Amino acid sequence: MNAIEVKNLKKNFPMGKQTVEVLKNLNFQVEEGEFLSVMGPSGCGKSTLLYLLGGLDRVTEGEIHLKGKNLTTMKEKHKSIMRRQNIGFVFQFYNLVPNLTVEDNIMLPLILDGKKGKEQKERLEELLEITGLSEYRKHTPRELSGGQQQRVAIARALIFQPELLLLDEPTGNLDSKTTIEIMELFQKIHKELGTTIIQVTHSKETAEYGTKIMELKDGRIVKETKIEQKRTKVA
Amino acid sequence: MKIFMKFIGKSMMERKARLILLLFAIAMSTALFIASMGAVEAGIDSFIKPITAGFEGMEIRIESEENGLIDPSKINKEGILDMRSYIQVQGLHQTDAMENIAFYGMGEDWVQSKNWIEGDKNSGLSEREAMISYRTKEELGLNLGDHVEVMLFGNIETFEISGIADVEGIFYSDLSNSFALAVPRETAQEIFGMGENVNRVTARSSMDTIDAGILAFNESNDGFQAQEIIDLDGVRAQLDQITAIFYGMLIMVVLMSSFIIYGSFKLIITERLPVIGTFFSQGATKGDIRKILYLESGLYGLFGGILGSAIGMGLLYLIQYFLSPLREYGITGSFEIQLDLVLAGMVFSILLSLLSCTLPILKTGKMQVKNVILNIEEQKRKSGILGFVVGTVLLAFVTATVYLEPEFMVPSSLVLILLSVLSLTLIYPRVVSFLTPFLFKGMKGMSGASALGLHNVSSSKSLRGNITLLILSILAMVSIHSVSMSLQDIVVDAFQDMDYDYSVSQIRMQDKDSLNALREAIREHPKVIDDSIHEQMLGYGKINETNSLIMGIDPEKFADFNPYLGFRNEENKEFYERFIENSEGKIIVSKNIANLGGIEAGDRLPLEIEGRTRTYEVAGIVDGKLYFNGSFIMIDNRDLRENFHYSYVDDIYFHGTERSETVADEIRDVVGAFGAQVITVDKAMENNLEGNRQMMNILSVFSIMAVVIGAFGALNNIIISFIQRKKDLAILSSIGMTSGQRSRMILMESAVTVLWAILFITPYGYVMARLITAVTSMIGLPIPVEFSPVTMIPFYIAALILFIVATLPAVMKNRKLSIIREIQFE
Repeated sequence: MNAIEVKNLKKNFPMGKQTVEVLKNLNFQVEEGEFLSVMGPSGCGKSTLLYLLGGLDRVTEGEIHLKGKNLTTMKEKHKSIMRRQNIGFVFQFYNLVPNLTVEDNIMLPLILDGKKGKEQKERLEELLEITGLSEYRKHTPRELSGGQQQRVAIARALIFQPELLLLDEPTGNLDSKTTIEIMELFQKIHKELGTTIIQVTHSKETAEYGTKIMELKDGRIVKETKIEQKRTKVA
Repeated sequence: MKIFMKFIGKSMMERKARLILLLFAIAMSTALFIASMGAVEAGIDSFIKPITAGFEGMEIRIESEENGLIDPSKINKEGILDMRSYIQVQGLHQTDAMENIAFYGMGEDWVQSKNWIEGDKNSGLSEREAMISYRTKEELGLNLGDHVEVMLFGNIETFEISGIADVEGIFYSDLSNSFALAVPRETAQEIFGMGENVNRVTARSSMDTIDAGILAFNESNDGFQAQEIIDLDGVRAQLDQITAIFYGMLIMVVLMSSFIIYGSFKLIITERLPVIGTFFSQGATKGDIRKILYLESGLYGLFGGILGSAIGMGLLYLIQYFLSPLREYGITGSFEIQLDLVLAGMVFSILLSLLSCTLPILKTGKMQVKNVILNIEEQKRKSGILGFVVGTVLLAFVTATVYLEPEFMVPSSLVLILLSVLSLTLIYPRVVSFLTPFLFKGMKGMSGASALGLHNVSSSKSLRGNITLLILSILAMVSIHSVSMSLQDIVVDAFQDMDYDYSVSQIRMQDKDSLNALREAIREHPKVIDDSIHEQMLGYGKINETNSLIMGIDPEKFADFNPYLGFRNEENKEFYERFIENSEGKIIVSKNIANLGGIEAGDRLPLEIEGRTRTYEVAGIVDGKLYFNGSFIMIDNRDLRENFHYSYVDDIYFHGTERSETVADEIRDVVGAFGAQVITVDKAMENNLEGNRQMMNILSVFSIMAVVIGAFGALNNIIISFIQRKKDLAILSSIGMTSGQRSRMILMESAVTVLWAILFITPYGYVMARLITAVTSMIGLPIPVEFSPVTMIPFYIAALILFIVATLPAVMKNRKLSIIREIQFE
């Protein structure tokens, strides 16, 4: 079964008195467990596509199906619950809540869902361990480096063990060493948990951590390439 | 400079809501400043105008030292001019309504000086002819040729109306239930059998000052005593007590306004950092930037000041209007815009604005130019621990002071209030930050959105700022409410303890014979218990350079008649016993007067009353509480009569065989003939409560203004906090927070803000109550203010509702929040 199915997707934005067509009739599928990297120049519509896939914005035309469920007809409240339970988002600028501790930031989706209990605690410990943040659990985001903040964002995205991870330029704000660390972490998550990942990136190097690259230009898919896993640092 | 002004102008207009809030806060503070500054004069005008008008511009009254009657031909006119001698007694209009009549016997020169609206001025008034005012004609439907029956000392006299005059002079205070009626002086002298004598003589001072005229007159006259008609200082002192409370409220409002201006300027600077950076990059110095910001602040002050001056003048007009006894006739004294007050208001508003924004503006000097140009926010995490420590020490000091009551507490009570409010605002952020994690932990499993709302209050400065605003607004309300409630309790308790049923007043105008006749009439009334009769005389005197009310009493009866002063209590019993045993040459001084004059029990001091001086021993000092504002000297009535030639009585109190309005009416039939009034103790209590209620209503205006400013400030803070956290809300939405959860979180923030404020105010209320008690003692109106948290519940609920309502605009904005726009554009 496809994790995502996009049919005739169009997205327009009003710009003053004009309308700009950002995405023009996109059609593609993402298989379960796939790691798709969406590439393209600035303004080609890749972030817009990601937000549409995450239900953060409404399509102008077309349909998006997430595991068979039609996102385009779904109620806002259900979309929110789906984002909380089934989708993990990681943004370029981390987008953490500055006044909450690392622990609380990671637990946010659970807090919003009203979940509590031992199980969640164990999950938190596990994620702190995976992301190497155990010793920073009581820190607030402003006390952490960029790489550490992004790890918090990743842990937050994983707290609900989502089927889909959406990454918006996740290393765009990081130095090259941290970029490698973070991308290897995503690769590890992909391999070990089998999570479907879609990342948007400018960088070819980062894109190659995925299993497939989809290139966008002027709102259209211009190329799709399967990637053989070259990077094998992660055992 | 022109470009800067353009920049400032556009910046001010950019955020209209903030512009309105700033102008509103500044304008309200300025308006209250002007109202507080001008209230005394406005009040004096309203109080004094009817008196001065009644005396027709005269400055001095002359009294006989013997039986109250004056032979004008015996007066040496040294120190005075324009002497006017006439007769004035109280009478009753013989109609069903029994209107009071101020009955005047006036000279021909006076009759000719009047502005006759109807009647033949050239003929003047002949023997049984009378003059009334145009207002009385209109109110009572009396016309030329009508006959008026007046009861004067038990006899009914009839006069024909032959003149209707302008409503001025003695007619100024005419009301529908009391009016002046003038007949020829000779007619009055004949009716009362006074020969050539009169009972009223007034004059103007022929010297540079009124005092100099009085002194010259008194030195040249034996048997006559000149006094100033109006004790302006006394009136001013009484009004000062009210204005001191006005100033207290003003301080609260100014604190809130400066807090709002401070907060707004912090935000203005944060928002403007990119522009400030651009200025820096183009070579502007830090001084240039400060100048621009100060100029902007000054402009807010200027415009707020103009608005505030207009509102302030409006308030003064209202104060004057409501204090005017003749307002229902459209007579409120002339209202003039006082330019000096407007000027003071403008200076105040500009200073308020400049000073309130000084701190954030000075902080721009500490910013690194590079960081400002690159718009990099400098992160400095302040622990707030120093503020907490300082606040705790301050609050501990104030709390210890109010419970230990050292001597400096009363005089420094206003400063202590300021210190304690400051200490609260220093303490609470740290306490909130400390407690929130525990509460958050406990709550996050129950309701995530609500838990986040709770958490946000501790981390958002704007939301925390609302706690400050709430604390100040609720304190303003608590102060007025507590004073009002306590005052009501005191009045009710005091009157319930008073041991009398009826009091007769308005008897000061009687001469000796008629006073005796009145006494006899009361004593012989079948429903009056004659051995309960107790007389009270009032006057003014001076002891140790301190002016005081002199209260003549009957020592044998007073302690039981007035238990409020507690002369049967252990602390007062002993000296009061001595006072009863041998009151001659002894006085009792109230605590306020003793403090003012540095008087102690046992002192032998000269007491001056109306030009005569005798030496008295201070038998004891009594806490006067609220009785005559706690400031008086008590003396035996006999002493006043013998040593100071007092011939009049102010009030007569007594028990009836029963207490009812019907009996009061029966007694009224008798005393009314003497122009006197009778009321029951219950009615006296009602009147007193009504008087207090009016004062409290005026004060409530101030506290309501404080709440309105607080509510506007809170609304602003809630919206600012929403705008500042739009991105955070978008983040929360991106990870699954629903729109409903966001709204719940925002509403929870407001509810938590109110709860925190209540949590801090409730224990502090006890300290505040003691501080307000001290303030009331300081201004000479000692009210033991009690704080009752239960009676505060409606205010707390009102604050909660107000805050929830103020949150609604933010909730509405939240619904339109675009997640993409907030996340995408960094």
